[in-house]
Amino acid sequence: MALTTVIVNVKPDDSITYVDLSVRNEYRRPDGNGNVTFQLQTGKRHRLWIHATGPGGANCEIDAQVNGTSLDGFPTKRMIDQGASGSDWFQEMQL
Amino acid sequence: MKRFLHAASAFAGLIALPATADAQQGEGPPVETPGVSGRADQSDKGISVEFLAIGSDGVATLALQNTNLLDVDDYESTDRRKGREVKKFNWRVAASAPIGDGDDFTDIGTLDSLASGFKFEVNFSKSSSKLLFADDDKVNEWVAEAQTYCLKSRAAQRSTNAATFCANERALGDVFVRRYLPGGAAKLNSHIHQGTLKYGATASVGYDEFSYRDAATLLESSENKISFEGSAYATWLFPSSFTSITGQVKYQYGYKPGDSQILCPPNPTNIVIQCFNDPVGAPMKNKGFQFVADMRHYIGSVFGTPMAISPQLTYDVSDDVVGIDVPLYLVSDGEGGLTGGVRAGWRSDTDKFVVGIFVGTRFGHKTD
Repeated sequence: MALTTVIVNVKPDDSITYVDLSVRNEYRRPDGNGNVTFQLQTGKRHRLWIHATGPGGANCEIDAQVNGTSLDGFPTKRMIDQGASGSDWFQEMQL
Repeated sequence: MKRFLHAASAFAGLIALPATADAQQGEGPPVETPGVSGRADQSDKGISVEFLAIGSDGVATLALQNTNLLDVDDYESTDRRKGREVKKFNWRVAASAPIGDGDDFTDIGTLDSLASGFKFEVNFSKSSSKLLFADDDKVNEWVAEAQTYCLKSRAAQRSTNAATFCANERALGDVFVRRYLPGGAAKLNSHIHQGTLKYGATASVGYDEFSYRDAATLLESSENKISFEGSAYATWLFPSSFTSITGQVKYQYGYKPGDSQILCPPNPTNIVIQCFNDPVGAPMKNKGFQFVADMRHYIGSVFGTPMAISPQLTYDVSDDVVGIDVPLYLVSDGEGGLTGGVRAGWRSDTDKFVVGIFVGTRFGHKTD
């Protein structure tokens, strides 16, 4: 099974108090540079979930790259729903 | 109609000191490594300094606060879905003071003895959020349903490129489901969130000046009084993450002004005299327990205007007084926040009812 290394970079607003990223039943938290590395099966479609907690209106920028090139649909900027206390977003990644 | 401004919590600025990003390295590929990784032990966020909200008759608040990630544990729901439980600890120190000396209406419905003067408070809280991993089959169903709605919507608009358009929209990920599937946002939120519980305690010291008039001499006097308040609360944020309820018990040791009366000097010769409508006598002690229940709910878009409501019911045990405060948020700040609207307040002892506008108070949940 061939694997592709995907590096996801997360830039949350300061008011966001928690972020994690998950693919299937595993989650990762960004390192000090906001990066998370996933190794995913090549040739498949994977759903990347982003969970962020913070006040409504807080933004989180997410970029997913393979070999320095952003995947289709990335970078993307997401905003926590107005009136909500956190949000879960997903973006699909075709590898 | 009286007008009041309550500006306790909108941002006028935010300075983050060392606002570090989450600081834990993930380990190993998720497709190969079983079990949950990426566990964090310590602090996420640096101390932030907030300079909060100003209104001409409002309140200015200076606050220091810090959120630490305590732990992330494995979690499994009753229907055997896997996830994680995120536990956080937060502290906050804040000083606030009213701006201007206009009428203060904020304590009409909230029965808050400390609302009208300088206040210093310390708050500690812990929270726990339970989150599940998504069921891909279920999400695929919703994506397919959203696709159907998208195509129908384009057909209704007699679009010739519906398939291409919807394929492009689908690339937006969850936005596609939120945009096209009726109730899609709540479905997605509730599928992941299992709710958040936050509980904490707050200690406050207040300092206020009370002006009053002596009934016998008609002379005006004032006294400075220090008040104290301790409270404990628990908040539950529902899985949809748009509605929260809070229960709170407070003990206040404060003061309230004497009843206002119209006082006139003796006027035996029936000449034009000056009368006064002021509180009469020194401020009276106002101490005892209060029980507070409040709900915060984001209503959504009504006729294109985002709305939220946060009714609060307070019962003062010692005085047997009920207060009701109902802010309805209607004004958006253009950055995704609701920061103003209309507010109604009522208290049972005086049967006083006020309605007015408010600005500067940002809608949010106590779990934010």
